[in-house]
This record gives sequence, structure tokens and C-alpha cells, in this order.
Amino acid sequence: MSETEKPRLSDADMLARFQGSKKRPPCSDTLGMKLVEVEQDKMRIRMEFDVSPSFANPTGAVQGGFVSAMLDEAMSTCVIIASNVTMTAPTLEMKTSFLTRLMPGKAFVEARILRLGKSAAFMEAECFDPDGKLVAKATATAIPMPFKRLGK
Amino acid sequence: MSFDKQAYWEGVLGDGTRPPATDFVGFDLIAFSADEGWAEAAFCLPDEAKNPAGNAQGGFITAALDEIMSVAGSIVQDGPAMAPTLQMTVSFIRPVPVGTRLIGRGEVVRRGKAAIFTQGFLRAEDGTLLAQATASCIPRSLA
Repeated sequence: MSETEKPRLSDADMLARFQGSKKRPPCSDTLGMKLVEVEQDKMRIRMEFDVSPSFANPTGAVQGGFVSAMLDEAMSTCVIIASNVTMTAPTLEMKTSFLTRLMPGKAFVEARILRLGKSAAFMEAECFDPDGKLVAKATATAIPMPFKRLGK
Repeated sequence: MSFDKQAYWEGVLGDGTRPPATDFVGFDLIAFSADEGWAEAAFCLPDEAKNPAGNAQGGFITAALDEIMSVAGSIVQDGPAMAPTLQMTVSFIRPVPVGTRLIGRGEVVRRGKAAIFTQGFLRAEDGTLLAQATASCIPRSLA
């Protein structure tokens, strides 16, 4: 195991690697996602989003599913980083509480791993508006699997 | 003059001006029953929703389900209304493709005075269940 284990990057190097990635999936660009903090010891990350007005509901606020999309993005990335970029973790189930409305524009999400096991990962994330007010909170479960099994 | 529920919601959910989020998930109304509290629509998620595996990222699946479940929670109320979602749980049962016609169904489980409980299902055209959800929302009259 030890001879195949990937060396750990520093938090700063991990952050730089993600920020410089040219292989971002379309959903990350769609959400205006930017990884801004990585704390590998605490299995915690922070992301910044630039939410498009094309996600507005009839009241002009961001439709809840797109808030869930940001939370999912952060929780999934958190697993990838916590596994030292060896695993991805398709979400099995996710619960979101919508505490108050979020308007299109800047938003922030903090995600952390509660437990990263062999057969299951448990995550949670919080979404904040530009004033730092908590607008949504999510918990999720996922199945960690090696990257190559994704098929692409 | 009494409120014509059927005509009102046909107008709101039909081909008129729709909110951006509704268009993003490719909402296309199939049928609904305001009395029975259910609604069905086709969805088509765009390439912009792709995750690294090339399928729809979970949040965009959630967005489609939230749309159809909110419709069910809205039409079951007495007049013009909406149903802001308080909490929603989604199970991602199978990968959801982008660029493919999907069938969404939202149902009201209980219509209370202070809360409405809904459930939703997203299926492939052949009926395969791809995702399901439950939610609680609050009734909000627009009258």
C-alpha cells in the first residue's frame, strides 16, 4: 500500500492544482465555482460561486435545486480532496434545508467530511450569502470509488 | 366570479413567459390535476449540467424535481399560489443523462394549513426510475 500511496500535496498546492485545472466539468463552470480554501487535516473546503440569474425562480431568488447543486459540488469535491484525488463519490442521497432565500450573484459554500469510510462517505455543507448569512444547509451520503471506474 | 383553477394553471405552466430556472431544466408540461394534487412534465437537462462522469450533477436533478414538486404544491392550493420549499431529500437511484427527455412527476402527499408535503419521481422515458424525492413546503397565496 505504502509504495503505491500518492504523496500528499500541501493545502496551498492542492488549492492551486484545482484552481488551475483545465479539466473542469461543465457543471462547475455553469455554477461559477471557484475553490478558495482547502484544509486537508480537517477534511474541509470552501468554495465561492457566481450564481447566474438563469437559475431564478418566479420571485427572482435562486431556485432551491441550484442551491443544492452548489452544495453537492462542494461536498463531492471535498471527498475528492480528502481522498488525495484518488476517489470520486457519486452522491446517493442528499437532504437540503432552505433557511432563507438567496439572490443570484455571489455565494459561498463550506463543506466537510463527517466520515470517509471504504463503502460510504458522509458529508455536510452550508451555503452563505455575500453578507455571511446562512441560507441553506445540506447533508449527504456517497459511495467512494476509484476514479478510473467512472469510465471516462 | 369563481377562480378557474384549471385555466389559471394551464396559463401559468404552459407556453407563456416562464422563470429562468424553469427553462434551464427544459420543463415541458404534460398534464396535471389540481384537484388530485399531481403534475407531470417532461424535462431535458442541458450539457451545462454535466458532472465529471458526463451525467447530470445531482443538484440539477434536484432542480428538476423541485420544479415539478413545487407545481404540485402550488396547484393544490385554492387560488393563485406558490409553495416555497423548506426541506427536500433526493435519492439518486441511477445516473441521469443530459440531453435526453425525462419524465418528472410531483404529487402532494398531504395538504395541511401550515405545511404541504410532496414527493417526486424522475424517470427515463421507458419508465426506469432515476431519482426520487420527498419535500416539505409552505403554502403561500398570491391572491
